[in-house]
Amino acid sequence: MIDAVFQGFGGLLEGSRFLLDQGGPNVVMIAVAGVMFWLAIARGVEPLLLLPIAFGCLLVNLPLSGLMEPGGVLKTLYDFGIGNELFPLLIFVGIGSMTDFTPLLANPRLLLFGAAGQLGIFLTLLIALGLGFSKEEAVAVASIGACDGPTVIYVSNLFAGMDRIPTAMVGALAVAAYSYMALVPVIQPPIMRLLTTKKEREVKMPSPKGKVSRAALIAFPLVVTALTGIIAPQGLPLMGMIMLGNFMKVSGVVPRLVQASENEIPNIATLFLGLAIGGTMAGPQFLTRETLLVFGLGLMAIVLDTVGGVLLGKVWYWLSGGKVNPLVGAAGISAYPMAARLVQTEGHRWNKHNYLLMHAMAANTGGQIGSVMAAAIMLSVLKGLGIL
Amino acid sequence: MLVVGLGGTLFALFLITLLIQALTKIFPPPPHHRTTKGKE
Repeated sequence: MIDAVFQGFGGLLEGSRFLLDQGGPNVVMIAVAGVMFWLAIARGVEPLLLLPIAFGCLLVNLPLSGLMEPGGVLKTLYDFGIGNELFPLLIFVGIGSMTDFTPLLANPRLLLFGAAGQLGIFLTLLIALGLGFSKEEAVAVASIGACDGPTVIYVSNLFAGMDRIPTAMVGALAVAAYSYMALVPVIQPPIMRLLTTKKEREVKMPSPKGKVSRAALIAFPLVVTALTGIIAPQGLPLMGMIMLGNFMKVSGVVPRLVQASENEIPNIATLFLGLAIGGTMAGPQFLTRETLLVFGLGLMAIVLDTVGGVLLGKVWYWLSGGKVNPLVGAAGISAYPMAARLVQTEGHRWNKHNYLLMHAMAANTGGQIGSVMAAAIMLSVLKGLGIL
Repeated sequence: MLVVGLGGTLFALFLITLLIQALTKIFPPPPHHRTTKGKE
């Protein structure tokens, strides 16, 4: 009887014994979860994502719960919606229905900024390969330069599902991507100021005058979907879901589906995705040299994206005889619509009569398309090389 | 991989730019009609 009581108490103490004996990495990750809670709650940094990710991280690092083992709730969520890339794609439907391509269609030349804003993806890919990452790992890390969380999760998980990258790397990539997206207002302005002169930042751009017909807005998602399917079929799920969301919105005939695409569907997918991603952050697998490199390279990717966009802006400024404000190029990095708002704020700071928002929104939606297209092209190139 | 990836992305975005220009030509915005309200 007494033995049974002691054995029962022993069971209660098993978790704390594990933490004391071999739980160092878990304790570190619980502290990391605490930092994420603080960032989300006290600083308002991407709370929609960071809060569930941090909670998933906390859950998986409390010992012996088996939450991420077969049958565990986090593992079930992971298999249900991340292992098959479902959740990121559902979020993409929401992103598509919340994106307005009108400024881009009114001024399609600004799509060039969306191309320049992907410079970081390709330069980071080169650096990651140089650091010894495998091709799949390098593409996954470089995808942080897409400045688009669901794209990063989609690409990295595709590779994790084929055992080409460690599952724990998916968590590191997702957290790095969402953290840096939240930090875009901190990362971009110093680069924008460093690369431009006061005279360039003060350039006033007139309001865009072009109008767009409803028929063109409806046809746009269809032709982009078809084009992606022809050029880069491996990325069609990503582009197709964005364009589905946008198509429903501009069609104007399915308000209930649009309402669900903008609210319920991405909200539920975000909660489950965040929890399951947090579940991949178990200390022993997460705390590696590669994780640190992922964070370093992710920052580099976003910095280089901004550099690419602003430098194209400078070239355009010179070619146009000073009519284009180079700051608009910084919106080409995706991170929709935060990067566009940032360009507007920065332009207004240097010239109180300057309103760059519509130009920046065009470049920003161009960046959205550019980042997804870059991911789609990379996946198709890997397929062509026989790697996928 | 890098060259084809970067070149492919630029090519695809260039095509999209051309497509947008074609779309806005095929489906031009309706001409602005002046309202007659108030004149009748």
